[in-house]
Amino acid sequence: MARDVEERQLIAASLAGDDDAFRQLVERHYRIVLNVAFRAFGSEAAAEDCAQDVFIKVHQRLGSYRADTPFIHWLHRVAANTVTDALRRRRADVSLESLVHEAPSESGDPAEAAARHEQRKAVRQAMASLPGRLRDAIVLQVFHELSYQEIAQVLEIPLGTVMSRLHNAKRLLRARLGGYVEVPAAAIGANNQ
Amino acid sequence: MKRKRLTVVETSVLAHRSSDTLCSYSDGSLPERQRADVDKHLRVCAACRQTVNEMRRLELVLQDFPPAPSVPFPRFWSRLEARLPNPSDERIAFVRPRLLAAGLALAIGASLVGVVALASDETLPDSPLYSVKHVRQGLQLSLISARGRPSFEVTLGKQRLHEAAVMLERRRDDLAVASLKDLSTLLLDAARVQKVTGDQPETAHVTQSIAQIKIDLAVVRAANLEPDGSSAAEIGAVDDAVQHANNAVAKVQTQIDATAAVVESPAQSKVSAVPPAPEVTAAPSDANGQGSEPSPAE
Repeated sequence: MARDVEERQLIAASLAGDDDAFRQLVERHYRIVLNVAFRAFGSEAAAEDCAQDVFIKVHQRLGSYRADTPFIHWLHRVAANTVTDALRRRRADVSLESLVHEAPSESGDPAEAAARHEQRKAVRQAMASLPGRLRDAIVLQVFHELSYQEIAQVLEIPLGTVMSRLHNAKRLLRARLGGYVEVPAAAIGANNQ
Repeated sequence: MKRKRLTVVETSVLAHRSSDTLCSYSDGSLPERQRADVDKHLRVCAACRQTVNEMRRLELVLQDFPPAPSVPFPRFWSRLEARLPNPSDERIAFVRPRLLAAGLALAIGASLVGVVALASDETLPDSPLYSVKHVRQGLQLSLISARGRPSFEVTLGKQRLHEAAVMLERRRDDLAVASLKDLSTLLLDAARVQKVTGDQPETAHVTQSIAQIKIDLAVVRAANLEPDGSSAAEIGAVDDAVQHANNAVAKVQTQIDATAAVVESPAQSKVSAVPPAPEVTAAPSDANGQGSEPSPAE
């Protein structure tokens, strides 16, 4: 609660032109935004650029933030919009740079690292290809790591609508990701015996 | 009868589950009771088992996104700060856009000189002429030199605080908050200009004004908390604005103290208006063997 009050004061001060207050606001949240952007792009440089774009938008639009909702929900919405816009623009762009910066696989096996990179790239592209509302919901779950309840709060929609959008998004993703998610029938039989 | 009940149970176990149910089952969001029901069905239905396994595989694929490597905040901020709009490029924040438009319209629509003369410094925010006063003071502020600006801004700040106090008395909390925000904007700008120019402001006047503003802010805060029928939200908004103004006062004070410290000990200043006299030594200071004693022109 004290943190909320402090945050409200930082926002009010930022709106009045206090750069130091805005710096403190960014410091509180930049890791969350960086993580979201890194999951979305897989490249440290692209993630940092995108996270900075998010905070530039926050700086420009802070006046439109309504104090009756938690700031973090508003920030997630700005970040999700920025990330999905950037993802849409980069759909066809297969970044070689991301291969270089992608975290190494736990085993250190180059073949496994390459396979994982391909898989993540395919998932990002499949997510970017989803219809807007489904994409927003799945981005908040996968890249922002939010729960159903939190997604409902960020998007200001009922919980049931969130579930429905996520289920539809995943149905489409399963279809579009084909080989990455298919499990051989024989393996199922063996797994469930 | 017994036979019929068994049939119902068998049908329930055998019936395919909806895609939504299987999706909730796969991502762990299905309630425990329904989960047990789906478990029973999956034991006898290969098709739904296949769907669930693919959904679980998808969940694993979607979770395979690691967090970002650590980025030190100073690096992140320095790059972000360079991309943020420069305050000096922006319009003077002191001039509120709506007031600017209203003020200009009023000034043009009526006799300019007469209206501006009527909009004296005593005009209050609930007066129709307040927008004209606001614009006039904004123009004055934009014309004043950087050296005189902090002092003028502090003077205007005192006016805004007086306006806020009167608006509170008149139960116009919204206008009180607007005046308090103006006060913060003015003081923060005074601190910024002070930092940039490094000039010592008219210290006695500014120090006295800042002390008065601190006292008046305490009075406004106490008046705001007195029960007068204002809602909790209105009281909270005024209190936030007062708190913010107090922070702005502290920033101006810090900046003035810093400037005074530099003025008192110029030798420690990075940029000194008068360079220290070079030491006179017997040894030649350059290749031509010229002495280092400065000429009067230096």
